Amino acid sequence: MERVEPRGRPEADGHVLQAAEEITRELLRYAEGEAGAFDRVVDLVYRDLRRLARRQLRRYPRRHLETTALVHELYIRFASGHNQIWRNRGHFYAASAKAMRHILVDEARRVSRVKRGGSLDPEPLTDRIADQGNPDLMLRVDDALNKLAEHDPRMAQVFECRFFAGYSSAEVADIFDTPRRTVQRDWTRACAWLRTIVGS
Amino acid sequence: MTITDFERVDRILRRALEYEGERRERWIRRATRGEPDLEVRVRKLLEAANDDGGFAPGGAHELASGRLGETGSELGALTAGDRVGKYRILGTLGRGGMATVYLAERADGEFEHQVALKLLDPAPFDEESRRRFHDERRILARFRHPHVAQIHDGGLARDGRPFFVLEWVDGLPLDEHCSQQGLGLEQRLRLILQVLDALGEAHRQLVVHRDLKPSNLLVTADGRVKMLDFGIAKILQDVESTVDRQQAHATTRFLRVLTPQYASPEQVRGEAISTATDIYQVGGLLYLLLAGRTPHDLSGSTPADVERIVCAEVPPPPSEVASTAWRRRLTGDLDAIVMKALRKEPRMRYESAAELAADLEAYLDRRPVSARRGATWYRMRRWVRRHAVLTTLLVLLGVYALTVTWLGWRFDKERRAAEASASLAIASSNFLQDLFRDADPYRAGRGDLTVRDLLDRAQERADRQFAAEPLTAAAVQGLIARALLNLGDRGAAAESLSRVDALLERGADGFGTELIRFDALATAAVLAQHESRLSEAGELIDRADALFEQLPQAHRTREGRARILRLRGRGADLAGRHADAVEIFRNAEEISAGGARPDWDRVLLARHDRVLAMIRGGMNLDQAVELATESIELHQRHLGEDHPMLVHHLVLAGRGYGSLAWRADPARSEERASGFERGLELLEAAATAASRHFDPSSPVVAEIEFLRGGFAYSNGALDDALEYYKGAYRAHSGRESFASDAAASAKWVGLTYLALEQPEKALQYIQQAVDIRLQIVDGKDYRLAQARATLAQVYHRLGRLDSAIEELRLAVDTFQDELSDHKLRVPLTEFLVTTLLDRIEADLDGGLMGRETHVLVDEARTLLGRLPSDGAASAGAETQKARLAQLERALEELP
Repeated sequence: MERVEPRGRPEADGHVLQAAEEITRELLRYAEGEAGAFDRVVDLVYRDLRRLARRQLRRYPRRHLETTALVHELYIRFASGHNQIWRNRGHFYAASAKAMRHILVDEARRVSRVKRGGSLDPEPLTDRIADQGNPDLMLRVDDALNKLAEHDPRMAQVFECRFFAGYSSAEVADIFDTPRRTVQRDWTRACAWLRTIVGS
Repeated sequence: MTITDFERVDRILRRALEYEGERRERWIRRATRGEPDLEVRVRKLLEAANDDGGFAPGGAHELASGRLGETGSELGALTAGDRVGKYRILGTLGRGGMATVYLAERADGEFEHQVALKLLDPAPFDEESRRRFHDERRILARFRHPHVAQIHDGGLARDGRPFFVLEWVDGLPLDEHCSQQGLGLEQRLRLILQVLDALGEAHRQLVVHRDLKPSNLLVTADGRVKMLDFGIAKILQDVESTVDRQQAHATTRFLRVLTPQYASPEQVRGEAISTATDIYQVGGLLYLLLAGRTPHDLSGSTPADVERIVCAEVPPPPSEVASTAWRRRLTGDLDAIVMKALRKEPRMRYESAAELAADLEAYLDRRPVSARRGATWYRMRRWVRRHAVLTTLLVLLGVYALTVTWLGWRFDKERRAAEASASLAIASSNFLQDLFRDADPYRAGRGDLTVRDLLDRAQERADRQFAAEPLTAAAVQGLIARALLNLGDRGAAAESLSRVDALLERGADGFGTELIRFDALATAAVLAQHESRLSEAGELIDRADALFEQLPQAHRTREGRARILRLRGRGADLAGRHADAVEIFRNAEEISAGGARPDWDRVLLARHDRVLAMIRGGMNLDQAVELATESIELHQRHLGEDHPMLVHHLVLAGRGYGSLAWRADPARSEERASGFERGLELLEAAATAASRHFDPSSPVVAEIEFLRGGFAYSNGALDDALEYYKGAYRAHSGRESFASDAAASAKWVGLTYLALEQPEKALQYIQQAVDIRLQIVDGKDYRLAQARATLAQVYHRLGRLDSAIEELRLAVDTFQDELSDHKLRVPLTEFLVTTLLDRIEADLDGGLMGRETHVLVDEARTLLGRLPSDGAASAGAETQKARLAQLERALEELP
C-alpha cells in the first residue's frame, strides 16, 4: 500500500518562476556561444531533478526510476511560466541528461562508500538500495565516458542522453538535430568503446 | 584504461560497422594489415558493438540503485547464489535456444516456494519493445488456469534482459511421460484434452501460445498436464525482430526463436499468428502421440527446405505411419481429426480449441456404429431443418446448376457447349450428394455441424473433384466466396474470390464464364464495401454493370438488375448519402416486386437495407419503424416463420424503436420507456429466432445482446443490461476478428457495474477492455484512449486518483500529434484537468501539500493552456480555470 506522508510546508510559487527564468537566461547565453553557461544550467536543474527523483522513488518504491518522465515533468514545470525556455528545448534536455548522470553517479558513489563502511548520507536518493545494483561498474562507466568525451564529445553526449536519461533515439535525434540513424550509430559505437575501456 | 590512437581506430570501426559479412572482413584485413595488435582491438570493439556492449538505454539507474539489478557475473550464465531481482539462483534447470531456466527462490524469504526463473537471451533494446514487454507481462500474469504454470513475476534484469518467474513444475515432457508409462491411445487423447482445456481459456483471453511442443508440456507424477511458457514466444519474437532487423528472411529469423518440428506454415512464412496456430501445433502433438513421430521429418533441412516442407507437403495420415497395432484404430475418425488440425490454411483448421476437444470427446465416447447407420435418413432430415442457412445455400447451388443447364440447352446451339454445361450440372449435383453423404457418417448425429464446416468440406471437395473442370470449380468457388462473406470471414472470402479469377483464366470462354464473372465482381464489390474501400467498390460495381448489359437477354434477369442496384444503394449509404441510398433501394425493391410473382426474398433484402439507411441517416424514423414492422409481417407470410433473414428484420425493427426512444424528449419519459420496451420485445423475438439458426457465439447473436444491453441500460433496467452485455461479451470473446467488439462489450459490462455502484467489479471488466485493445492496436488509437479514460473514470470513483491520472495522461498523449484534431482530445484533456484539480484539492484538504502539489498545478495550467479558448468547449475550460485559480489562491494563503 502506498502511504501518504506529510510533506512539510509548500514552497512559494516564486521559486519555480525564478529558477525557470534563470535557466532560460543561461540557455540563451549558451546558444549565443558562452560555453560555461551549459554547466550552470546543469547545476540549476540538478537540485530540482534530484527532488523529483526522490519523490518518485518514495511514491512508487517498487518501480524503476523513470528518468525520462522526470525530465519531462521538470520541463513542464518550467515551461508553464511566461519564460521562453522552449526556444532552447533541446539544450535543456541535454543539460538535464547530464544532471541526471551526476545524480546517478553521486548515488553510486554513496552506495559504494556505504558498502565499504563509510558514513551515511543525511539525504539519500532512496533508502532501500543496500546490496543491489553495481555501483562500482557505474563509476567505471562514468570514468570511461569522461575519457571518451575528450575524443568525441558528441558521441559521448548521445550516450549520456540515452543511457542515463533513457531518451529514445528519436528524442536524441531531436535534441542534436541529427538524423536518427546517426544517433543509433553513435550509440552503438559509444557502447563498443565503453565496453572495451571498462572491460580492460 | 586509456585510449590511444582513437581517431584512427574509430575510423576503422566506423567503416567496419557500415559493412557486413565478407565485405567487413576484407575491410578489416586491409585496414589493419601488418598490425596484429590493431586488428585485435578492432575485433574486440566490433564484438562489443554486437550487443551494444551490454548497455541498454535508460539502464543507468539499475546500475546505481539496482531495483531489479543482479549481483554476480555481469552478463551470460548465472551460478548458484547470484541474484536476479528479488530472487536467488539455486541451480540451472535447462537451456533452450533463446533462454536459460534456473531454479530459484525468493531472496527476501517472503515465501519459501522454489520457482523457475527463465532468463531470455536477447535484451529489448528500444522503448517500443520495452513497453510491449511490460504490457504483455501484465496480461500473462493475470492469466490463470490449473493446467498452466502460473507466471508469478518478471521484469528486466540489470543488463536489460527480460526474465520471468514461473511456477516450478516437477514433471516429464509429454512424449516421455507417454512412453515411460506405456499409455494407451485413449489415455493419450485425454492428456491432449487437458491441453485443449487450458488453450481454450487462453484463447478466450486472446493469449496465443505459439510454441507448443512436448518440452513445454510437462506431466506431473499424478498425471496432470502443466503448460509452460504461455505467450513467451511472442515476446521473444518481438524482441528478436527489433534486435535483428537486417535479418530479412522470415524463416531464418523464425528458426532462431522456435522449434521447426511443430511450426505452422504461417509461422514459417512470417505471417500473422492466430489461435489457429496453436490448433496446428496441437495437431502436431496428436500426430506425435498417435503415430510416434512428428508430421514432418526436418532433420538436416536448410531453412529453405523447412519452409517448403512445412508449407507445401501434406504429411501422410497418422494411420499410415503408426505401429501396426494402432493402425486400424486411427483409420477414419482420428486420421480425419488430426489432418484437419494440421491443415495448411489456418481458416480450414478447427475454429477453436473447444471444437477440436469436442471431436476428440465424440470419438472417445462413440456409440456402436450400427446404431448410427440405421437412423441416417431421419437424422439428415432433422439436420436440414436445423440448418436453414445451409439449406438455402445448398438449394442455391442446385438452382444455379439447373439454370445453367436449362439455358445451355435452350440458347446455345453448339453441341460442345451444351455438353459442357450438362457435365457442369451433373458434377454439381453429384457434388451436393457427396456433401450430404459426407456430412452424415462422421457426425451428423450430433447435429452441430456448422455452416462453416460444410463450406470447408465443399472447398476440399471442389479442389479435388473439379481439378479438370475449371468452370464448374469457379461456379462453386463463387458461391463459397459469397457464403464466406455472409459469415463475416473477409480474408477467406477474398482468397476464395482470387481463386475464382484464376479458375476463370484457365477455363476461358467456356459456357457460363460471363455469368460467373458477373457474380464474382458483385461479391468482390460487397467485400470492398465491408472493408471501406468505397471507390474501389464503385469501380467493381460499374464493371459488373457493364458486363451485365452485355449478357444475352435470357441472362439479364431482374435478380441481376436488382443486385446491382442494391450494391449501389449500399455504396451510397456507406458514403453517407443516405437519402440517395433510400431512393436506390426503393428502386431495387420495385424491380424485385414487379412481374407475375414478386421475388419476396430480394424484395425484403432491399427493404431491409432501405430501412437501415433511413435509421442510419436519422431520416423519418417513424416511417422506418413502420416499414420494418411491415417487413416482418411480409416475411412471415411469404417466406415463413423460420428463416434466418427474419432475424435481421426483427433486429432492424427493434433498433428502430430504440432509436426513436433515444431521440425522444427526455422529459417524456413514458414515451421513451415504451419505445425501449417495444424494442426489447422485438429483440427478444430476434434472439429466439437466432438461437435456431446461428450458433450461440455468432456475431449476430452478440449484436442482438449488445443492443438489448443498450436499451435496457437506457431504460434503467441495469440488472437486465448487465446480463445482456455479459452475453455479448461471451459471444464476442474468443473470436479474434471481433476482438474490438469484445472490448466494447467488456467496457459496457464495466460501465453497467459502475452504474450499479459496484466499482470493483467494473474495474475488472474495464481493465479487460483495455487489455484487449492493447492486444489489437499498434500505437495510437482513439478507442484505446477511450477505454483508458473509462478506466480512469472507475479509478476516480474508487478514489484512486493517482492511477486515474496515470491512465488519463496516457490517453491524452494519444492526441499529441497526428490525432490532435480528434474530437476526444478536448473532453479527455478536461477530464485529466478535473482529476488533477481533485488531486490537488485532496492534498489541500488533508494538509499534505508539497512540491508535488505545485507540479500538479503546473501540469493542470499547461493543459488548460492547450485547450481551445472559444467554441463549445470553452464553458468547461472556463469553469476549470476558475477552480484552478481558487486552488492557487488557497495554496498561497497557507502559512
